[in-house]
Amino acid sequence: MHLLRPLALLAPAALLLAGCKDYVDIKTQGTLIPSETANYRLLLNNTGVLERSVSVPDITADDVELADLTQQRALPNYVARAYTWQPAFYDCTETDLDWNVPYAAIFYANTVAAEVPGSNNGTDATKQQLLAEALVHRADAYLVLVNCYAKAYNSSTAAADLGVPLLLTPAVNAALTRQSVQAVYGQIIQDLQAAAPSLPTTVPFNTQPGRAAAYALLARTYLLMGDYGQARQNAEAALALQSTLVDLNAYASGATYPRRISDPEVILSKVANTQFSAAPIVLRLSPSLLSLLGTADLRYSLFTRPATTVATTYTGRIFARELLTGEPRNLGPSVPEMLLIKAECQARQNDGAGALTTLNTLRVRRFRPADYVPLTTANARPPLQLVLDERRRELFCRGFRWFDQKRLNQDPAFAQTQARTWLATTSVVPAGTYTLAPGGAHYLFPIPPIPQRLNPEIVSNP
Amino acid sequence: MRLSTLGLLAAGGLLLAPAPRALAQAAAQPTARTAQPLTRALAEMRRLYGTEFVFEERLLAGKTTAVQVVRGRSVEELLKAMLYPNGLLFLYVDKNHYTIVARDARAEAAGPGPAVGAVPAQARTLSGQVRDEKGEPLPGATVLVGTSGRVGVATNAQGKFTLEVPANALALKVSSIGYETQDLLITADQFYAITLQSQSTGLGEVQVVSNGYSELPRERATGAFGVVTSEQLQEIPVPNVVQRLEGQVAGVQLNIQSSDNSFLYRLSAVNPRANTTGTNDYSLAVRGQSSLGDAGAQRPLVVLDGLPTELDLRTLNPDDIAQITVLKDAAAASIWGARAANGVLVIQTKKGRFNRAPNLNFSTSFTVAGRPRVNTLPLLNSAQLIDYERELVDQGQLVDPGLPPANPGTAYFPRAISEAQEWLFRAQRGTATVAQRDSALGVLASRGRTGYDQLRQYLLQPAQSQVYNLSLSGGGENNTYFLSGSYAKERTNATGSDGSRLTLTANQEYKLFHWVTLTANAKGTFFAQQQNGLGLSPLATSPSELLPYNQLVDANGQGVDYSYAFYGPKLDQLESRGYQPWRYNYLRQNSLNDNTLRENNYWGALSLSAPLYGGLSGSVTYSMERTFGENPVYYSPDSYYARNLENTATSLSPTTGQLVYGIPLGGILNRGTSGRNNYTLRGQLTLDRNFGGKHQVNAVAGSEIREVNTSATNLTQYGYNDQTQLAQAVNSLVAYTTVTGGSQNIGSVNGVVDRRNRYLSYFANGSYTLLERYTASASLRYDDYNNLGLDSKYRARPFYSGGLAWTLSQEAWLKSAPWLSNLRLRATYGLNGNIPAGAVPYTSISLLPNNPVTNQGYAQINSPANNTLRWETTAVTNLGLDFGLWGGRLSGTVEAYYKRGTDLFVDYPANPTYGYTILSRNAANLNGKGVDLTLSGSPLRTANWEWTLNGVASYNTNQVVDYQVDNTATLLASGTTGPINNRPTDYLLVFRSAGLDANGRTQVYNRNEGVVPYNQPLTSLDDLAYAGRKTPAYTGGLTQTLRYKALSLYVQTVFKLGYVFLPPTFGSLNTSRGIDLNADLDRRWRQPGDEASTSVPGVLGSTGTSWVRYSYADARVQSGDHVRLREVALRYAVPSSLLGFGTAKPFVKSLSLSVAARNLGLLWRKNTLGLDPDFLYVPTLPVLPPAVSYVFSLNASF
Repeated sequence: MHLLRPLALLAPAALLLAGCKDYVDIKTQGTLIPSETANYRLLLNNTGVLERSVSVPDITADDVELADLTQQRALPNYVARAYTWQPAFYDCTETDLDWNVPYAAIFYANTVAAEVPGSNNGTDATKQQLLAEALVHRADAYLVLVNCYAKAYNSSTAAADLGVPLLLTPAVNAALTRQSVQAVYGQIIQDLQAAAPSLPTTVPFNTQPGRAAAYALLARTYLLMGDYGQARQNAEAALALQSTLVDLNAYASGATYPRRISDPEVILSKVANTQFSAAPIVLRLSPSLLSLLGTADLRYSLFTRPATTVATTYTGRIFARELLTGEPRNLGPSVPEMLLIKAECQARQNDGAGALTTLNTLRVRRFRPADYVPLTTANARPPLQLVLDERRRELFCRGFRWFDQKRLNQDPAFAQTQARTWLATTSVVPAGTYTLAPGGAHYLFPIPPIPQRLNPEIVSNP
Repeated sequence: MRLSTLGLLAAGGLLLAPAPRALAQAAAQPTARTAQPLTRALAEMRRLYGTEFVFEERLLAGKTTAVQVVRGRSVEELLKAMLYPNGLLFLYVDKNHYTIVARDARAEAAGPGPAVGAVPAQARTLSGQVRDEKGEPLPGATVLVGTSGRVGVATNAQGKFTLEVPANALALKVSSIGYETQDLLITADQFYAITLQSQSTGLGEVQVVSNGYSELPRERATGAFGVVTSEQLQEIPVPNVVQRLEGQVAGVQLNIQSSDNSFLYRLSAVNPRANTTGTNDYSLAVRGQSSLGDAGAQRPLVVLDGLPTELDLRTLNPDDIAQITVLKDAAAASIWGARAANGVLVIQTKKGRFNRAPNLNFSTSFTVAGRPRVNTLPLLNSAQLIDYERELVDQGQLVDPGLPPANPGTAYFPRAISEAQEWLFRAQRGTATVAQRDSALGVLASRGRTGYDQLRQYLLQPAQSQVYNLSLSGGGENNTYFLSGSYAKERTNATGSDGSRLTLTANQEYKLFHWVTLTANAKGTFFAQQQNGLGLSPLATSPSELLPYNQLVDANGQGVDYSYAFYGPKLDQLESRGYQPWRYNYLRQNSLNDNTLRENNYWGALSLSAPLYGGLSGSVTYSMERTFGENPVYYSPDSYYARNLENTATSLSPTTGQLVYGIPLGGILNRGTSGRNNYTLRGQLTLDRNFGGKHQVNAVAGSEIREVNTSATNLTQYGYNDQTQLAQAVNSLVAYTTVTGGSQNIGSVNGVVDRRNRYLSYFANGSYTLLERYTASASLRYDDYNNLGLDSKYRARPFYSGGLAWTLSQEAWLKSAPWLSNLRLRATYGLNGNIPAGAVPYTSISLLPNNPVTNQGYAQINSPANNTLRWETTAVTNLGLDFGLWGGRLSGTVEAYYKRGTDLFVDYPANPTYGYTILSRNAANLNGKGVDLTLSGSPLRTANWEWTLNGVASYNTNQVVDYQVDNTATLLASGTTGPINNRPTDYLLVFRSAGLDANGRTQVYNRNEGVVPYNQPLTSLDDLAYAGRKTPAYTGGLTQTLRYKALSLYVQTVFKLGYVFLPPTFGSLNTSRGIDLNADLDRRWRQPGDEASTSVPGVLGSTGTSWVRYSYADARVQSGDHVRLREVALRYAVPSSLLGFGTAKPFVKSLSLSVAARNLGLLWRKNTLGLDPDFLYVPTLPVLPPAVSYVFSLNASF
């Protein structure tokens, strides 16, 4: 019997030793440590974060005119303030999605960029491609941010103009000093140029950046910078990879317009963070746009509808592309945008005829054959003006016009003063007429209150 | 004359000797180096051989022996060697009981055997049995001949004795430690049934505390322990331990939110992500908040029979519990390391005792509560509601659904409106005259509170419960057993919601080979619960809320149908096209759904322990714990849920005109299961040794591994037929057209969650006591946990504590004070930990199926990488003073503590520029402090009368410090937010009301006393006023028992003081959600000028900032202070004379009857609104103040 005692002593002693660290080196299911390369593919598939873009530029731009009193009364405060270019859009606790959404995408892109090179079980080519995709998403996000919250690019002042905080690593405690417009643009171009060679020429879904997307965003960036040579070169590079246009005649008689995922014109899908398709926030089109568009244009019949569709008391016509597909409007680069960039560059490089040929490639698919009239140099308006007119017709209410206004206002030939009348007395905006002069401070969106309060180093816009 | 049972218990919890009623004071001093006091030698004998001795203390005083008590010699041999040289003899009672007497007092009877005194020529033999007042036999009681006799015997295991007495003997003297000594006259009877009354000692004088690993006499413990005994628990006749803990331990803050339910929680199912069981029904904190996480992360650790458990307290049968020890400070709790910061509840269940005759105990109780008190709810009546709706319509806040659609061609689905709104709109449309409208509204207004009354009549019921409890305990020479079974049935106050609980317990202990002890404990708890009652839910603000003029039943007794999905005429139109009936009927809901919850819990532990050498013993323990929960919810085809879901998914084909069903018609079965599967394996060494009579060492050391698995599955079947048990397949990804023309898919029909966590710990804990006076203790624990990252530097962490205690009353210079029976000073310091749930140092991503755009699998980032992740730690300093006065007439404990929590995990608003709006980080420190006070006494104690008091009170507060985040703007806008520097965690900051403006909108003062209109922002925290804390600073209770003979009256009051609350009011105006019914709406601003008399904003002011500033206004703050009369109980213990104790074999050993009334309401409240601050009516989770309940109980042992 007494021989058992040493055994009894051994049992707990053995256990003391046996409880080694390996026991707790297990992972809990359901949450993964993204050390596998494949997991970064899954992160980049998160369209809910990476596909979303801004939405307020469609309120501030002159494509819309929210003239109905009933609509004005019902609009949320931030829309009312943005519409009248107030010095602040949001109350101190309100979220500015146009700031948060691109920065959320930037965080994902930065995470991938920082972690994918060291991940396991992936080929170098795969890692390069995933890194390149992340850089494209990051570049797109910074491009919309710098155009919303900073001055339009002006090569003479860009190095001094305040841009936006430029985060390139997935840090959550870095300083958020606003970098110069030049620095932001420089980063965008650097990222896109670095990404392009590693990207595939075809992609399974247009939510995933391919090489064409990198070129298209470069074209857009250079256009905004006024570098028409580079813009044209990249637009053509993008068009070389993707040039299919939708012939709107196919949908004129009621066939279902394709959803964005199967829209051959979309080069990289980026959608507005907020759909503006239900009363009271609908984009009621301005007379200037409607007169430019005309009624024979298929884009008029397909992409606009009477405002009474959404509310009996509303007048005029509204942007209806979101109603057509049930999806948020697409702000990403597309084949028509590339054609328009190419045409604008051609016109600015004094190739008027070439510009009009490019435009006609697009226009022929935008009219019924009976209504189609090719543009010629015999037109009273100069080619550049025709290109800019066509740009409005093609891209209205999709995030382009506000940035174009900022860009074009720098040129005295295109500078315009905008005016808006606010009738509603019950809202946060006093009734009256509001004007926006070329180069006015209110072309810059106010820095949202929450980020600024949390990091006061983010300097306000004037 | 004092007698003493030497019932020394080795402090190691593994030597599972019966718990003694008291510990002998071994005051003897050794006379030689090799000798030890005789009392200590006898204690050692008891420990090794399980023998018990009865002796007069003075006989042994100062006597020593050099005999070493070792195994291998017979008991008699040892006793002879020890006692004979000291002039002492021993009397054999039975194998385990001896009486020690002086040689000179003893006749020349030879050798052990049935004890006899000096036997004169004419002697007679008497026999008898000694029992305690519960009827339990008392072994080891001394029966002496004559009132000052020296001759006697001790009773055996059955309490029986046989004694030869001289013929001239007149009386017997019966005594036992802890009991009042009794003298009785010798009569002609041969047999004497004797019942001893226990000596009343103060309730607080519990002698043994347990930290889960070992048991320790209280006088050797340095830490802050709170103890609840089974006797205290017994006074609260509620079948859930939670309620029984209320007001028993200073520093334990219990908030009972259940009104008329006890173990049937409103949120019962196991949630694998967080421990949410019961969070709607109670909250329990030890010494305030130590963590800033969610409620689950703030729960104390529960240790059941020495092993950590995830079981909720409701799974325990309260009558099985022997003692609950609450570990409050670091010295007490740090042996639990990383999980101890929130305090620990150590629960020990009952055990049998060696050499005890079987004791069968039966108890039953029946509880009936009064009618639910719906009329106490502050809700609008019909006329008030109609007046409000009229204003909403007049102001254009509500849209008339009866107007023709704006675009005749498009689908138009107007929302449902109330009956009153319908009449108001009819008059507007011109389809009714003003007179018709007013007469119809008059009829509605005349209904008063019909809706609420009918809800009470048809959907509520008085709660009831029944409990039956049977237990058997006892033990033989080599084994003990405690077996119990209980069945409890409970009916909540919601008609259709009831359930039952069955618990089975078997605790057994075996001595193997005379030296190994095997402990085998098993428990099972089985719940079955029906959750079909609507209860108060129709009063929650929702589209289907019950309005005061709505009727569940019309004048003809028929249930009334209401349209809630869409406007009534629209539903008529859809039903005429073939849609299923789409009306809601409150009465039919109960019978058409079947929501049952079944939960089976199993718990088992096996422990093997053996003495090794010189007071060192080793043990190995394995325990497992399983929980299987099943929650099938069947919605029959006629249920509103199924009809509504299916109709919503049904569209009219534009081509064929036929209905297209997106979800198959029929019943819907949602089957959820949940489970836990945990195990613990522990090896432990225990040292319990006294060296030379001066040095007492108690220590444990060991290691433990533990795995916790939590899982849940969920499966939904559509088109289910409960007879054929067949369902129809659905493709959850294919989109269908909804009734309104939208596109939707069914979505996920099944889900699986499975989580596994592992813990590895090494622990050591020891105490050293010198001369029974000076104690030092220390503990060390090292914890490792799999979820804190990849590298052990993130997760492994030592926790430690140290403590000192000084028993002043043992000092010679204080011993002479006759009034002072106990005085101790204690001081401890140590670290406790807490594991931040779900926090990981690396980028944590989770996988999701089916991206809605591309249908690809995708991933999301749950939390960004956090390479600074650390465990939360709380350093606790505790100072304690224990005192006992006048022989325990008054005793108590005062403790003061200071807690410093560092690296607390907190969610804070992150700069969205980083990509996150909320981040969780080790970002806050929390200082806490408080005082716990326990007092117990018996001011009155005579043979017939006894009055005992037990009071606890505690103060606790805390303050957030070093918190880097500025929540000002959120707070200014919403009235609430997370932590704020230099404020307690439960602060209430309010707007400084400046009344209403001329349009009925709220104005406030800023810090400069300027009036700020509703649309202007405030800019600084100084613009707000500090109203106080939202949880009580002072909590406690007082229990009193007044006994007259066999009748006792028990009164329990509890109090909460030093806090404030904002009474519930109406929510921000949101007409699509339903209409608020809070009676405050009737005091609203209606027209200019009203601002002079009311501060309740008008319709226009009931939104946005104006509403927030009204809702969180200083003018609305009420004090929460109150004193509650929780229970009054009357108990009658049927006297033994009536139970036939005079006979040799009474069938019933004890019997008591009691009647208790609980929840008698508030004795005092400070708030002026008549509200019960514990049961505020919140529209999202309506709750009623509990109704008075009456409990009738019977307790008998055989």
